[in-house]
Amino acid sequence: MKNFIRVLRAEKGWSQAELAERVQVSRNSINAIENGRFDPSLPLAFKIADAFKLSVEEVFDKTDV
Amino acid sequence: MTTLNIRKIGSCAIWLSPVIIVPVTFLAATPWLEQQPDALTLSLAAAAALFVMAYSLFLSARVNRQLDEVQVAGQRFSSTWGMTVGSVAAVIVMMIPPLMNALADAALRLGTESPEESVKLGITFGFMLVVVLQLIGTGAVSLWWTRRLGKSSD
Repeated sequence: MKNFIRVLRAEKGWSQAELAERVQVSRNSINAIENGRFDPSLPLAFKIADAFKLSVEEVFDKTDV
Repeated sequence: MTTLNIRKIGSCAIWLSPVIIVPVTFLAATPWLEQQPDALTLSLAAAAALFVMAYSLFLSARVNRQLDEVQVAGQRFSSTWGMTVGSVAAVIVMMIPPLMNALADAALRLGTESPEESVKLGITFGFMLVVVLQLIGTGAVSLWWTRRLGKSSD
């Protein structure tokens, strides 16, 4: 699933490791999700969206479902 | 970073050490065990095997608790495909005459007491081959999965 994690991270100035720490997953997992190689579960998607203080729809592209 | 890695490696080594120490101790005690009654030897062998299996399960559960959902998915994918790849590899390996003959020769050479013992050893070697190839298959698939997901663009 396409997402805007890379852009949002860049805006916040966070590395993948920093985001990973915030949502309590590994950096590799963030990398996989960011590159669309793995679709996160709903709870993890909410956690990622919460980290950016955005809604899930603003982080993940629902047109790509 | 280096200190963290050394600590991590040290911690892994300590956690894994019982799986190495128990079989090595058992093998080292073989000369002494040969002089003991069969019942004692078999009981100790069973106890050692049960300990290693139970400890492995404990380690596996402990590691699983620390995995996130991407890692759990990778683990599931690796075990499912690794088992299949390993089983297929075992069949292929057993179809190669020199390898099959080497296994049969080993069973005949080591099972010196009776033909029945050789047959039992042959079957055991076959099972061991399947398990080892499944382990290698799981490792290889896991490595592939990790590399595929780990391709960074950061």
